Amino acid sequence: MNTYLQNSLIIKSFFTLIFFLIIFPLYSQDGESIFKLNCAACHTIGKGTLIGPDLANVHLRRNRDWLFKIIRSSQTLINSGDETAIALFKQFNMVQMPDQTAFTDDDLNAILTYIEGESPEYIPETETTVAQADETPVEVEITGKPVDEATKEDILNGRLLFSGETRLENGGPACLTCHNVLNDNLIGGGLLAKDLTEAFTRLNENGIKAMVSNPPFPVMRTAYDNHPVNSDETYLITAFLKFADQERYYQHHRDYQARFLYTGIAGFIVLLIVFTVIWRKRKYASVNQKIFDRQLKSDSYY
Amino acid sequence: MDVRAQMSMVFHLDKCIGCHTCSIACKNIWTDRKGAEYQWWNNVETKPGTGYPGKWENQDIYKGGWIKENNGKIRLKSATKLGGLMNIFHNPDLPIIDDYYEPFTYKYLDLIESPESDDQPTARPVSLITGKPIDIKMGPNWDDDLSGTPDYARKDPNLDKLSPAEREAMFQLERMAFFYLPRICNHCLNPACVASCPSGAIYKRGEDGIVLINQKVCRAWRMCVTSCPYKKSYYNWHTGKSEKCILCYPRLESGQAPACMHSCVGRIRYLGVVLYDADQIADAAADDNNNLVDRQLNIILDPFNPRVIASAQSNGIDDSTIKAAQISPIYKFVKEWGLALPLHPEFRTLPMLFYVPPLLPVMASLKEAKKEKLAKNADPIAKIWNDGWLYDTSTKDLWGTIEQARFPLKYMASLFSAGDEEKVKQILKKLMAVRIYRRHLTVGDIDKKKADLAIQDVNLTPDMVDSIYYLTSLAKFDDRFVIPAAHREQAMEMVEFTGDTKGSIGFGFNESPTRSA
Repeated sequence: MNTYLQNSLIIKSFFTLIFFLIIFPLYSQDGESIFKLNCAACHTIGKGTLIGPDLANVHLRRNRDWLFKIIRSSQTLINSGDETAIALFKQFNMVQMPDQTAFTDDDLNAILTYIEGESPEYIPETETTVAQADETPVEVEITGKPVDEATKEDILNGRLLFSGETRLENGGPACLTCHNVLNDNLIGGGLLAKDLTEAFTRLNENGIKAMVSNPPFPVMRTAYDNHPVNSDETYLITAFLKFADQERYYQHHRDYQARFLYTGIAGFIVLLIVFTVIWRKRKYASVNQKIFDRQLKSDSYY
Repeated sequence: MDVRAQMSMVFHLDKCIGCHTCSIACKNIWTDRKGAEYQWWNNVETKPGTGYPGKWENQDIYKGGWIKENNGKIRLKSATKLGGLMNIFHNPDLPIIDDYYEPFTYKYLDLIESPESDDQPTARPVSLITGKPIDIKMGPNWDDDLSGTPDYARKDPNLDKLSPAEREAMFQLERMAFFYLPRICNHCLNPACVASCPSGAIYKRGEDGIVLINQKVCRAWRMCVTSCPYKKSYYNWHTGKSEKCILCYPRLESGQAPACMHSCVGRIRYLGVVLYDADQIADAAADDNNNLVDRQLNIILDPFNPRVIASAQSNGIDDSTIKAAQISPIYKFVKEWGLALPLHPEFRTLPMLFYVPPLLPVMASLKEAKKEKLAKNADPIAKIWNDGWLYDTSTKDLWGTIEQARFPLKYMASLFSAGDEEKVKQILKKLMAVRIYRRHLTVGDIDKKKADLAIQDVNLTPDMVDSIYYLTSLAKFDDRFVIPAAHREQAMEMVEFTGDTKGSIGFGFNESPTRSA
């Protein structure tokens, strides 16, 4: 290899190293961007409850270790019997928070610092405030176009996007691939992720929109990373999910259970009969079979 | 007229001694490989017998060859358009390994390496397919050992056309006879295997008509195995490709006779080029059953006819090939003398391997000749042996023994002439006439008048009898095998333009040359 190439490689790798040394700490400590990318789909700071709790002043309500634990793996904490965690889990409709194991301590500190900066003035948690919060949830402003205004056409288009009959603009996979929704107009969907029939009740409008446009779940995020769902599509899909949720009692349950197996067996038998008919004139045995049958086998002597 | 050249063969069945040397020569060269152990590109069958694979002549079982439809055209028996589609993933008419036989060897090392014990060590048979010890159930020619048992000779498909009485007569003690039928690929003019291949892997070589399977194109459909009525295409279960007799083309191209023919102890085999008219193939193959043999023989052209020669030259056939066709032993046996017939012409593949039917041992009466009177009245041909027995092969009628042959003519006709007994009879008469004439010349106990009468009766001249005698009994290697130069360089030019590779490296092999360090 000649010296020029060697030099240029060394120079290139050197600059790359420098670049990452500068960028990486900036990136990892940018609490705002981390929050918006990973948390904002379910949590607000002082703007009310979405799917998870409002995180305003959370740094004052909980200690830092506990926060680290619940962020990294809420289910582990719940299973370990932490009462606060269990109470929150029940309060928020038993929706599991996805594990965020990729965060370093620095990342989490950055997030908490950001939350701290964004939080309004602290109102100490009293029984009255908690009760108030439960009875009159904070009116949250709907993001994007509200689905209440959805027309039948919007719902239809949403269904087509959901089932993949219309392609998503940026080429993302259709929802049906992993999710199932009980609807007579849809074929059975995938069982890889949660059933979305009642998703609208569980997550409400903003939650669904946030999850579709900015998925917090690792697998879903990977799938849509380079193929984001645009805002029109988000609106249509949410409209369809709302419709499906409302209409769920009028749909036919597609639970085949053992019928599926029996149909398979019956189909197999039908196939056997068909092939028996097609190949009815086949050679059933060797032309020498009669000779073989008469021959003595040495096995019989042993 | 579309004149082409074909490597054709004649097997003289009267000379076959059934030694299987041809089979072994072929096996040693070509099929001594994994997956090919059960294949006998050349096999020798005992007739009457079921053959190899069992009952191969019965196309109700194996669906080989062509059949004539009502519209006068022929189609493969194994496949119609719909039927072929139905069977494309499961061919129900394929022979299975038990139809051939399970190939085996013996654990010979056990004879040497067994520890000392009270008993002698034995070499157990092991399957060449599974490698496990087996009971040998069958071999490629068990007819030879077990002919006459109900399972073999009496199940010969050719016996179906005989009446029960005729059949029974064949198996009477002291009347029973057999002959050997060596078989290789017939390199047919209308090959069913070529027609049936869905991959187009089988082809008939332009320059000499040898039918070959391209191992790189074969996709293991095995339609050729079913379609070949002679069951001479075999599936190699190890390579997943079908294989067949290649008429030792690498040997032919270097001027040597195929291994089976070269090694033939009885010198029964003849090989040579014939010129034929490809335009007639379609009509000949579709003619009525009783015209089939004549039509097939008409396809073979006279290599001395100037028109044929001119047409052959315009088709790019080399002068050396035309010359070889003129001295071809095949042309003499098949056309000039009319002594050879194709095997099972009714399969309509126009096989290019011809057989001289066997003139089986003539019937003789054996009497005690103690009475002087009887000895005096006996025909001059009759031999009175020293111990007083009279061995009499004479009959009052010249051709009487043909009619009384131990094999009914019907049986021979079923093998060689699609049921036309007259054709077989003519050939047997000719063979007999040659014998009578030679006996007149060498033994001298038959007078010239009777000998001349015999050969005139079958339209032979003394010169022809001499040549038949020479080619049958005295022929040297180069008389029996007339192999023209292969002219691969010209044959190649039929397929591709060799100028394309001129100036480049090599002749366009796919593999680039590798060098050692």
